[in-house]
Amino acid sequence: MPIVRPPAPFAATMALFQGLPAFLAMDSKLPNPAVVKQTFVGSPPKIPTAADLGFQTDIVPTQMPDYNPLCVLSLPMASVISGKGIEASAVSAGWRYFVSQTPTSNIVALAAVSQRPPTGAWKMAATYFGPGVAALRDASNQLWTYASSDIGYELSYLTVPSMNVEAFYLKPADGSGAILVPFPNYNEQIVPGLNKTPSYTEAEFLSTLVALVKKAKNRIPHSGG
Amino acid sequence: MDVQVRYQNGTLTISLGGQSTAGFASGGTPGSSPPGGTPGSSPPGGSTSGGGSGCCGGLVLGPIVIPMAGYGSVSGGTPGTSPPGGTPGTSPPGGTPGTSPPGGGTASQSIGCCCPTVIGPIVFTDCCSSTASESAGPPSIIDIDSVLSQAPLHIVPPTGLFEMQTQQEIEWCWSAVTVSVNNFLDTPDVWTQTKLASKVLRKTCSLAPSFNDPCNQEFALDISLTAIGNLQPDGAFFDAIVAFEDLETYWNKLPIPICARIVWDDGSGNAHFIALGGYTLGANGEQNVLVYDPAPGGYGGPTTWDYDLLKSSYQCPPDPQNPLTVMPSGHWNDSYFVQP
Repeated sequence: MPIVRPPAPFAATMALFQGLPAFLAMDSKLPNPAVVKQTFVGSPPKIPTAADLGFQTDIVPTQMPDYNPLCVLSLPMASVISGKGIEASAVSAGWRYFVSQTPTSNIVALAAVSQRPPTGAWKMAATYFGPGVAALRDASNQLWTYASSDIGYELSYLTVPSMNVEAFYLKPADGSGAILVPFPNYNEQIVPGLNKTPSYTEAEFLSTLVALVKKAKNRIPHSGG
Repeated sequence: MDVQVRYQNGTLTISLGGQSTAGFASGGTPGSSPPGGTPGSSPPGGSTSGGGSGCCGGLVLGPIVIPMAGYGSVSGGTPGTSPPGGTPGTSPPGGTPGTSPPGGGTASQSIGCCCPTVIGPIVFTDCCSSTASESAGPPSIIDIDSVLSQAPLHIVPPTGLFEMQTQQEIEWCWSAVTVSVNNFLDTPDVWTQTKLASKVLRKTCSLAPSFNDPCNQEFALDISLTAIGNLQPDGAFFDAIVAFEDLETYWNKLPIPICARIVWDDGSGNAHFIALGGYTLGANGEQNVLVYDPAPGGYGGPTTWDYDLLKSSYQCPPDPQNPLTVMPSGHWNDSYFVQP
């Protein structure tokens, strides 16, 4: 059975189509009319231009490439502690698209689109450019190795921002236990308890987070981690 | 017990709150004092709230003598008898800082090898927890002209690539940001996250992510930046952020990173450090900021963020259908200006 990526709302994809160029680099050869001014500290960072990504704004939106959208769910710390489970607690944090010329290109941007109050209009929120973006895309294409072959799964991407935790969330169609695949993978994982194996049951995943919550928080003023 | 230590205008203010803290190592050693001797700076002008502001009165103690050989053995004098009620973080009641101690406190003998430093009187306030120091309202906007007036405008800004290291322990965003800023502004590769953690935590740290790793702990960016000389004097602004147009003003004159503290609004009380290193103004008025996030979710590179989301809903926007839902987002709460 396949791993299904739910389709992104058309309005979200439209927001990507209309808004992404303003989140990219200006191009010295091909002017980026979406950007009026851009300044960086130091030498210009490795931010692709629309041309680098093969991103065209003059095509019909319905004919845009798929860009493999990922539904993003976020989990508040309080929900972690409540024990209600991911499905009951996670909130929608929008959609992320892997924008690149080809599905395997190393020049790839991860564009995040979200709804804004009060109207609920979809807008571009952020665009990630680091090397980890390609790794995230590649990991999202290997998730079948963790799933049971006779069960269908719906794929989302779960983040717990206040705990620096992210994971692919595979929700089985048959109501059996969900599978969490942390990113980065366990070899590079800095979260204690999520660096043992590539995937975890929902119970294992949440119990690790609860352990992190319960870890003594000896804070000095204005600290962070 | 939560202990906050701030030094301002000659007064060392120690706030005792209701939570425990690792700021002091066992035996009363002030672990939150940065090596190098300069405690975390306070914002100039009183426009922002440093540690302990707005709290009830406390107890005056001091002066104290700090042996310059180390900051490990701070000895307090006899507690003063001045009544509580002084304004924390400002002049202590009953006297001018650095002059006669209120209540006739007696300083202890120095045991250091260098001339001792006398600091005090000390104002103890007793109602501040670490989270209570966050302002209840939205952060104020920093007067960027005031910051620039004290900024090292004479320096030649680095022309290399600013790169953010990914934090190597789950609580080490402060170390990753500090080391990354230092690599950009000073001789690269002098510091590692582990080396910096060992210095400021005064422990022998190694990379071993575990629940019991004593080095894997939150820390204050102003202190870690100060420890290696990369915080501008009075460069830490608490409950204060930079307006978008002021980012442009600042970077036009001094194109070096500005660091920021994100406070998560999901009830966790957690916070996270990032750096800002550029901006984009879109043709339709889009205001975007280049964010360097050391978390694994920064994916090892810069991210262009909508300025309004960075300011109020970092990582997770509000739910338009359920505006009262607690979202796991963060807001930009504190700002740090750096220097070579």
